Amino acid sequence: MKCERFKEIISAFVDSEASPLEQLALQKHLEVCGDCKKELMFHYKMKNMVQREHGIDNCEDVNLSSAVMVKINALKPKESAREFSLASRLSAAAVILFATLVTMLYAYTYRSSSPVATDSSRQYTSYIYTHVNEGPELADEYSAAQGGQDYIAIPERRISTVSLSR
Amino acid sequence: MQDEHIVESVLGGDIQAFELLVLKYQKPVFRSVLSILKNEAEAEDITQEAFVKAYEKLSTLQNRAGFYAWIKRIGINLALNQYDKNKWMVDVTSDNTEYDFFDNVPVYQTPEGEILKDELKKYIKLFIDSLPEKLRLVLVLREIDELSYEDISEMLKIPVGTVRSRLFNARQILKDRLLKQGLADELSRVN
Repeated sequence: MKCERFKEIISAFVDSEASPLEQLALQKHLEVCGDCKKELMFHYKMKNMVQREHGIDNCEDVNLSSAVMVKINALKPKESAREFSLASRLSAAAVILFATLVTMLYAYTYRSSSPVATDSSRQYTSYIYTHVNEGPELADEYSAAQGGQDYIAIPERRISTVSLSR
Repeated sequence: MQDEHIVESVLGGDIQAFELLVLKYQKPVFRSVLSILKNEAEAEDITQEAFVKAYEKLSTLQNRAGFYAWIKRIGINLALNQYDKNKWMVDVTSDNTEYDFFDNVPVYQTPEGEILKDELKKYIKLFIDSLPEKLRLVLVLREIDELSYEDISEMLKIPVGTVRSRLFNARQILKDRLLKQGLADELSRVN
């Protein structure tokens, strides 16, 4: 009965997984029990045989490197595709940003060089704007009225006049 | 070339360097996977999958010198997943209990005196393969994959005490079977 208790400890002992207390107890037991000593020897031999022989034959011809590398190389285009996709999106964003900036710059330049007449005291409800070079006579007339500015506000009723003068 | 240098090369963009790691470790990984699955074609697929997965996750490997332990663990985990799938398929078609192992083993005439070492090897393999699955799995994880009780416990999600008792039972069955076949003395001679 006592030996039965040690059989499981022997199994753990050959795996170096017995606790220190179990090791000590087993060591003392082996001093007086020849059967358990034989059992321990048998377990070591069986363990060595199992480790040495099991399954080795099946592994000699294994060569999976080509197949693995084919699969790994097949992963690359996906990565490239992802990168390309990201690059495309960044490019598109850059183009949109550039276009927006150009538009804003153009609008700003145009606006800063074309002051808007905001004289609300006039009796006209809407205005158009033109450059002095496009209608010199009218420009002179209104330039004086606007305190010598290059750009002037022309009342709507003058549109036809401006057109005719050109 | 050390594993860590190969890993560094692969991470640096030299993908083909990964083949060195495959060549170096394909056999032990295949062996571990095969010992769990017992099916060569399936083991080949799982081993390939393990290496591809390792490649994909290589940047997450903290200890680059520990590639072997890492890839082996990946292989074993994948094999255990596949084992669970297979087991489920077997379970719905079979009502095998874990104590039918003697039925699985053909009874041979005692080959005492004429058995050679390679025959003993065949018997051992046969006896292991015919163990109840729960016992066989723990035995191969311990003996073939050389995992600690704690690692086996973690992988199979069973207590360490259960690992220990299953190993003990597996060994007792192996021993009884060898004795019954008259191979115990042969084992002593071979070793």
